[in-house]
Amino acid sequence: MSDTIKYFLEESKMPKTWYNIAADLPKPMEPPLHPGTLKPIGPDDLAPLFPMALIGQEVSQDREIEIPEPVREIYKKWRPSPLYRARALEKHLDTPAKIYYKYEGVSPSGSHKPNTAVAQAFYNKEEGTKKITTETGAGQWGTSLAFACKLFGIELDVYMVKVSFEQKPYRKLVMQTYGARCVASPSNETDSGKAILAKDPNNTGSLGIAISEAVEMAAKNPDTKYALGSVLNHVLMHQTIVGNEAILQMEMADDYPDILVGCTGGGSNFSGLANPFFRKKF
Amino acid sequence: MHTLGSQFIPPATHSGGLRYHGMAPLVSHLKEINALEAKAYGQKECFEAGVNFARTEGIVPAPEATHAVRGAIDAALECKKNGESKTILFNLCGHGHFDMKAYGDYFEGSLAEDKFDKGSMDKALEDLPKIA
Repeated sequence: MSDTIKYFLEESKMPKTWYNIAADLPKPMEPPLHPGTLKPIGPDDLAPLFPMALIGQEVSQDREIEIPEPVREIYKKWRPSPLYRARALEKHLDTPAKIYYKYEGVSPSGSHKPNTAVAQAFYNKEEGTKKITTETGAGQWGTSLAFACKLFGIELDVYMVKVSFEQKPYRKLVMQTYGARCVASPSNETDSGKAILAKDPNNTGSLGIAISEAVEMAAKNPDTKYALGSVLNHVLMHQTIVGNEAILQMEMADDYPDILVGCTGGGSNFSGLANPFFRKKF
Repeated sequence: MHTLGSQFIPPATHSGGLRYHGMAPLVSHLKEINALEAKAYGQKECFEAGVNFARTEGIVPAPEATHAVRGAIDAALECKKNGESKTILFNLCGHGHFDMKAYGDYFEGSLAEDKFDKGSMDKALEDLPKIA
C-alpha cells in the first residue's frame, strides 16, 4: 500500500474547461428577479455592472466553458493545487475513514478567491473596463481581486467594512502592495455612504453597505464595472477548476469520495469542489 | 435564494467570509432538490477542529475553512463509530495566517458563541418582498 501524502497534477494536465452545472440540473433553477419590478432580470439590467461575457456565463446552459488561455497561464502560478491525504489526522482520530483535502491556500492571496478574480479581471479587460469596484469583509476577496486587476492593468477600488479595515490592517496593506485603493466603508465617496454617515458618524459598516457603495460607483461611471466574489452562477463556475482537478487527483489516488464537505458563506468554494462531482451523480 | 433579507445583521463571528446571509441561488437550489445536506456549527467547535488540524497536518486553516474541517472530522468519527471505511474529501479553501487574532480569542476563551435567535430571524424575514 502506498503512503503517498500529496497528489500533484502536472501543469500540462490542468483542466482546460470550467464545468457549468446548469446543463445537468435535474430541475432547472428559477430565474433571478429584479428587486424593483419583481420581474425576471435581463442582460440589460446587469450590463452597467458586469461585462457581457460574464452576463452570458451567468445564464449559460453550456456544460463546459473553455478557460481562456491567458487565465490558464496565470492559474499556473499556483495551480494545479495539491490534493492531500490527511494521514496524520486520520491516525489522530483513529478512524477507518480516509480523509482527503484539496488545499487552495497555495494561491498568492492564500484562498480559492483568485480562481474567479483572475477570470473576472480578464473578461473586464477584454471589454475595455478601466476600473473595477468591489467590497470586501475580512479581505480575502479584495486581496485576490487586487492581485488579478494588477496583472491586467485595471484600477481597483475596494470598499472594506470599516470594522475589518481597522482590525485587519495587514490585509489592507496586501491590497495596497498589489496597487489597489482600499477605502473604509461607509465612506464619504458615495451617496449611500454619506447617507449612512449623516445618520451615524460612527457606523462600523457591513458587507451590505460596502456592496451598495461599490455598486453605486460602477453604475455611475461608464468605464467602471463591479465584481462579486461569490454567490453568482459565473463566480461559482470559475471555482469548478478545483473539483475538476480533484477528480483527476482522486483517480491518481485510486479512490473516489463517498462524502464531500465544504463551508459556505456565499457558496463558491463548496460549489467549486462539489459541482464537478454532482455531474457524475445527476 | 435562501436569505434572511437585507435588514438582517449577522453576529460578529470571526469567519468573515461566512457572515453572509444570502446563500448562492445555485447552492440553495441544490438544497431544495435534496442533493446536499446543510449543517450549522458554532465557532468554538470549529476552532477546536482547526487547532487539531494544525497540530496534525501542519496547516493553520482560515476560520471559514475550520467549518469544513469540523464537518470532515465529524464524518470520520461517524465512520469510526460504525466501523466504516468511507472516503471523505473536503475543500481547505484557505490558510488563516491573517486571522490569528481569532485563534488568540479562542485560546483565551473569549470567543463568543452566538445562539440561533428565532425572533430576530422572523423579524428579518418580515422585510422580504412577497413573491409568488
